[in-house]
Amino acid sequence: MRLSNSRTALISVVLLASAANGQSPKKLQDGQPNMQGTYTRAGVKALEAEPPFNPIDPGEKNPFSVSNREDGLGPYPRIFGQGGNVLRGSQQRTQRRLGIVFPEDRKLPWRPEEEAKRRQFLLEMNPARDLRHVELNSRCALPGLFEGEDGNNPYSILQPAGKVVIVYDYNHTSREIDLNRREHLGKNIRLFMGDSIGHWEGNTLVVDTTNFNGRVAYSREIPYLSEDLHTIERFTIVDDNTIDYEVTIDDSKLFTGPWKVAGYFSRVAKGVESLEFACAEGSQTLQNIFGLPPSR
Amino acid sequence: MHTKLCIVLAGLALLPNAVPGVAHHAFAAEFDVNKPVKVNGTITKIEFTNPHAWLYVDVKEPDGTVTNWRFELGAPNALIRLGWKTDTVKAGTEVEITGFRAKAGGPVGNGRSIKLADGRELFSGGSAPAADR
Repeated sequence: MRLSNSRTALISVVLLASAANGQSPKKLQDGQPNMQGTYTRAGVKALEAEPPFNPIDPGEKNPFSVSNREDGLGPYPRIFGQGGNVLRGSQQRTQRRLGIVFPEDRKLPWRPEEEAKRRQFLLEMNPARDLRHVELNSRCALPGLFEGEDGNNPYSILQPAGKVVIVYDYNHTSREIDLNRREHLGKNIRLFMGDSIGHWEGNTLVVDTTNFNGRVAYSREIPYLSEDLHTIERFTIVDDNTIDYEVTIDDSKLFTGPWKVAGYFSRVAKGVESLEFACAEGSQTLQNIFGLPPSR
Repeated sequence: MHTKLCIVLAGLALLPNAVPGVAHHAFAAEFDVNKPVKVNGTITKIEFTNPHAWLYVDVKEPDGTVTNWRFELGAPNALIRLGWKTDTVKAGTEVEITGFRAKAGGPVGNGRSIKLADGRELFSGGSAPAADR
């Protein structure tokens, strides 16, 4: 018997829904649903609709990109972004929601004056006008919630009593989500990774984060977010290998309203471990852009 | 070395369904797409440092002097997970490297491809501009 693609897809969706509803994750001693493990992330650093011209973007319309070369020197072989496939191995993978999901047209509610500033900032990133216009990742800044990489670098989730700790492979950093505290830190404390407090709603971990330091980016096209950034993340356990992720991004200094991004975490294959990524060890980016400092 | 090189090369073939990803830093801010470079030389060392590995190559100039070039490769984490080992290429190996020069000039580039004397080619990871989107 052959099934049409649509019927096959429908059955697959029903089976997945059954699996998601029928399998409650095991509980840890403190009552938390267990989602411990190592995962690779997908879909979080998404492009908005009609993104501005970005001279460090490698897209095809960019005169600074090798993608336009027709002499055999571009494009490069695909390497980055392959890591997720390697890390997952043969683990089950399902199709999930990805990218900007609200507003549905993916046009972000920029405040006009801030959108103009952002566009001008991007233009001054290549050639870099000064150190401030070198992307934060290149300067080995801590990645905040979004710049931790989709694909190559996995995330390990630990759940000690009363906490969820997410250990980033990328830049070897971590964030700690406190499940007992109800109030954020004082406003005078500003952090790259923000201050996260959370609670469980069934199999969904809800995380409220504030106290950012205004020195984290969302993506190459949104190279900074402000100190007013306030995020609400929802990590929903779908099955043994999958956590759905949705984040509401509210930054009232830059935007007139919130927007939402969806992605997911896939459990990696057995044997994959987190490796050290000490960004400051050998970064030569500033030297390659600005040259060596004058010798004394 | 043959076995290890096969792992690196086979790694590419096993990965047809790429999910677009973003390299650690933007290629275009650091390297000049209008300054391609190709050198033939002898590997002197490879450094598996973060955020990028670097390959060093001695290149003989027409006047007989030797210049030590360095080429950026991918992050060690990515290279290792895709099959690279620290001894995949050894000092003393003859190579031809193609890439793009750093904006600040000097004998520095972003490695696009590494060809061995027997014709085999290794991926470099570099900043992988075309793979970003």
